Amino acid sequence: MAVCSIKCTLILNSLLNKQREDYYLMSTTNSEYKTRFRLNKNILYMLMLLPGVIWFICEMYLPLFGLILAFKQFHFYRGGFFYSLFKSKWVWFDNFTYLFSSHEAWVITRNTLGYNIVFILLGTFLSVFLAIGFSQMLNKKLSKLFQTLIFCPYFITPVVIGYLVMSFMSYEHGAVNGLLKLFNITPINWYNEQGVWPYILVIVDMWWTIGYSSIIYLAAILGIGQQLYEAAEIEGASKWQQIRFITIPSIKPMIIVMVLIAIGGIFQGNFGLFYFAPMKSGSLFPVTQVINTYTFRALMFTSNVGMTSAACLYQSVMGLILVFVFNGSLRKFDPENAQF
Amino acid sequence: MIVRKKSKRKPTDISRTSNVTLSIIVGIVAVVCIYPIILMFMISLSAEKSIVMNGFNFFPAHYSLEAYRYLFKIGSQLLTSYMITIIVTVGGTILSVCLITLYAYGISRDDFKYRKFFTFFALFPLLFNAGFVATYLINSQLLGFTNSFLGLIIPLAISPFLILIMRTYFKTTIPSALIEAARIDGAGEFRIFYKIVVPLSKPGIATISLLQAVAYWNDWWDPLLYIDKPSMTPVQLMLQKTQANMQFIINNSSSMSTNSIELLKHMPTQTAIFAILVLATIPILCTYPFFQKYVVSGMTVGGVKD
Amino acid sequence: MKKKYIISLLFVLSVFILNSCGDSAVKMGTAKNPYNIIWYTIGTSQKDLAMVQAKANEYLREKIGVELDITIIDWANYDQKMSMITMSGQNYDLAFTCSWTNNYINQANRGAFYPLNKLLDEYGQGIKKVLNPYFLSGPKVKGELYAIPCNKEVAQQQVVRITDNFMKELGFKLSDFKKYEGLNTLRSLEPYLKAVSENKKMHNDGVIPFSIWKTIDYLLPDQTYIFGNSGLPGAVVLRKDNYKIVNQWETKEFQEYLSLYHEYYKKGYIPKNAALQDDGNSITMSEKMGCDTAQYQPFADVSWSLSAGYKIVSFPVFKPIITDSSVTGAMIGMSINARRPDLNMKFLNLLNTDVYLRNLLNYGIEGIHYEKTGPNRIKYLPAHNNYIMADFTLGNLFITYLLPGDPDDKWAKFEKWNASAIPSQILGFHMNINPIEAVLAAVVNKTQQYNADLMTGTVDPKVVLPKYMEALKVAGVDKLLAEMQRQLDVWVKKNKSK
Repeated sequence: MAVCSIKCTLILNSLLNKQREDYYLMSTTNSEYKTRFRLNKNILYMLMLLPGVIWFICEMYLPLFGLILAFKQFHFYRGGFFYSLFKSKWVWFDNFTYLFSSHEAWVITRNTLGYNIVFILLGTFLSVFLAIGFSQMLNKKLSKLFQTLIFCPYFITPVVIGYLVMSFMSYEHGAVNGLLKLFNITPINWYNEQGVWPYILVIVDMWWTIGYSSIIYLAAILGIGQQLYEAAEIEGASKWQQIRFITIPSIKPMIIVMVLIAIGGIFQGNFGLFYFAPMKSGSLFPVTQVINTYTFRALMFTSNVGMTSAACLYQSVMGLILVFVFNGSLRKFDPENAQF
Repeated sequence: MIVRKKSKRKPTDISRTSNVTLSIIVGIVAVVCIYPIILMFMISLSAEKSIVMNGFNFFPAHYSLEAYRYLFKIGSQLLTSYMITIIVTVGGTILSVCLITLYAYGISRDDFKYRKFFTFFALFPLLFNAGFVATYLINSQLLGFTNSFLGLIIPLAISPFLILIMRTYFKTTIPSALIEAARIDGAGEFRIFYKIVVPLSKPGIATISLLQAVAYWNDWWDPLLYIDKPSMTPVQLMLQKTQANMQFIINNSSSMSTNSIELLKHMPTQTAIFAILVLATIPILCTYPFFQKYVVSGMTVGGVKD
Repeated sequence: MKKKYIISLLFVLSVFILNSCGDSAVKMGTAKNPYNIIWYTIGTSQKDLAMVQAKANEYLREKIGVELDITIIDWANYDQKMSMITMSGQNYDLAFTCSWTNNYINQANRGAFYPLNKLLDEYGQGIKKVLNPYFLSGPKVKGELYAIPCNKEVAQQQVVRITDNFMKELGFKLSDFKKYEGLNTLRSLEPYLKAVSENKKMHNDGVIPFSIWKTIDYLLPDQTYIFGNSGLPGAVVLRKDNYKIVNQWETKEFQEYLSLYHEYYKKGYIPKNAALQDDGNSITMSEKMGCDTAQYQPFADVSWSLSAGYKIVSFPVFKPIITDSSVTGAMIGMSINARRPDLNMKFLNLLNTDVYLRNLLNYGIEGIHYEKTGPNRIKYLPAHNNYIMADFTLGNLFITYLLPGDPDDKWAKFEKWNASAIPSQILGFHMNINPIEAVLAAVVNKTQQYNADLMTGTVDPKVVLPKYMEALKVAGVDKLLAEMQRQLDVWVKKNKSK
């Protein structure tokens, strides 16, 4: 696919060059030629997008018909998926009720939103801090080493994270209880203590994700032209002022995009983290249960595809609404950074 | 006369003391991040008996290479899986980066009439997930991805998230004056793209290459859906299968009317699972310096002379 | 955009084409044009599968004009993959199904399987002869059988397993423990557990007196559970003609169980992190268990001891009962979209009656994977490690060859044990969860929260159980139980009023 598009671009490029020559030969004020030239440019841009658009249609937009599943009670009939889908009963919003059963709904929504907001705020702050740190360290070799190390946790699968957390928090063998024993304090069964887990989960999530975010910010920082800093230095700006007035504003667009995307996912609870890290301990549910884990657990027995689709749809719609609100407010206050 | 080589201090560098403090802080974070990885490695070197008795320890009571011996036993399968993972990662990353940068560049141009529409077109799927049954249906039945490399590469080929990142990156790093100058000189759009924009964006491109490479390397979900044959199983899926199988049999041993001890005898121990984990993680980690070279190289590329 | 319309049109067209692509199947079924049976089963992938399959196909082509195309899917991923395959209408013929994966009852209720009654009568006479009658009547959903069970032990029986060495060392004998008495059997373990925990050497070695973990399943001798395990509310007390649904967690007997386990936990017999870990097997494998509980089948002691490497003995907690989950423990189902159901049934009939075919698929090729040491006995050869299948996924076990260590009358004893089992009075009743799926989801979520802690004795039932019951009520458990009772009443009227 890539080869094809490169060939196409070469052909089109030569075509366009030829047209440019024609353009120069003609009168430059001829508006007719101006508009044709602009249209061609738009078509060229769209050609650049074409392979991506095809991918999006096949992988993301065509499957949207699956959303119908959220409103039907699926039953199999001899004749394949579409026939079965067609004949299955409409149950409209029945598949959504299990998500909103009063008390449970409040707990999982509170947990999901609460954790995600903390993750976004704290995560952005820490990753930007680290990115600036990486770029400012004098010893480049050391900086590279630290970058690699901090990125490491991203590779660890959630199941292993559960075990690693357990190596700290286990009653008999955990490091924390070991430390307590040293000071003659009685060990605590951490997996029954709800209060401490929000902190543990935030720390684990930070450990897991800031490597990823920080290198994105680092790339953005490295793209800032050096001459800006040199000019500021000549003007007598201190290092701290340089960071405040050059670095951070230059990466503001990147920060806004990352935050926007994170907001879109605010109704998704990071399943791996919340399911495995507390070792699926039941007594911790009030502080560790989020929408994704709730759906998974509730449907573990019935595996009702309609209800899973309903949960997906609910999370997507809520995320979409929030993104629109955020983008809308950006359009008002900071139109340059509004995404659409 | 002896000429002493003094370390070049650029005027924009931070002071020595700040450097030391900063290095220490970042260093502590780095140590905290790497600690569990080393722990993983130590666990893979522990004897199974030591795990049962003492749990996971940084310094296990008994060392043993039994985990790696098990790996040697399944050696040929591990090798095949590695090959698959490497092919998918390299091929997928290249394809991915081409698609993503082309798309991102297009929508980053202010003179593209439909850029707002196509930005939303790319952002919408990020938020709106239609569930995996429909995707599976299309991929397996319409597009025929079962048991083929396409099934491992195409589903991850584009990340809407990275499109947006690259778009922002292009907007902030490439001065439009540069593009205008090139256009006046008579260059076509595509030539501008790969002769001017791409070299300037090395840090960005290197970053998303790394992230996509990691995404491909770590992916076990798509292989789970589309691959049945052991000869096409990548390393991460092998790991997931091995670990999950053990868990499953243990969980259900009371319902399964069979001797679960016998079944589990043929499965790896917990330490072996960590050994596979170590082997699954180290290679991709080692590619990080390779990408870093390009990320940092962008630092020295000059800007526009006003 | 025009492109979008064209693509979606093409897509819709191609789907219709794909769905109607089955006409050629009608002509298949001869040695020259064999029908390809696509069979999904559970296990771990085996190196020699292709070899064995080819050998089987040689035989099958001549005999009934079919060929096998077996795909083994891993234990843990089987459920997820089969649900994808079934949902998307992908073409397949046979699939493993049971109560603990690719749930038979749920799939049957959703119509994913082909109804087999008529096919059995036409092509499955052999199956009807060999299968225990409870296997034929028990799994019927709305009067129709949807999968063929594997002929094996038909009942379930919980036993306590004890490490023989420890028992003898501490001066106990099997006769010291009460048998068949349910809760009292477990109570009679106390002296032994106390001895194990007080023995300094065993304590230092890390021996766990009562190796109970999160995955434990309480089976009370006088209750049978609607969902097959005691974790989900819904049970009927085993008494003739009793058809009243109760929430077992609210019964006195169950609460006594919980209290007993909590006692044991407090005294340190049950490990402190029992509610978190599923892993009891590494304890068993490394000879570190004082005792634990398990499901029994005839001669299980022998195979456990062989696998674990040290002598394990057991004694029963209650008499064997035939329940819904015990008759649906391992079955092979047929896809609703199977193109030639008749040929599939012919194959299944052969599988369950033909000694050559059954053992070929079970053990591999004679001379390569095993060698015969008697008319019905075999011994493994080194190549055996390249072909290890889960025997209960392949049909009738009673016609498979015996292994070293098995007594000559193994299968005869099995049949006798089967005959001695008592069926629950609601055998054959399967709950259709479609009407109350939303409530069930909320209830299941609550059970996930509380079960592990209560059943491993980690928390005090006097304090936590009332909270749990309250939470269940909020989740709507009463609606669930009412629907269960309603369905049961309908079933009773239909089946029992003779």
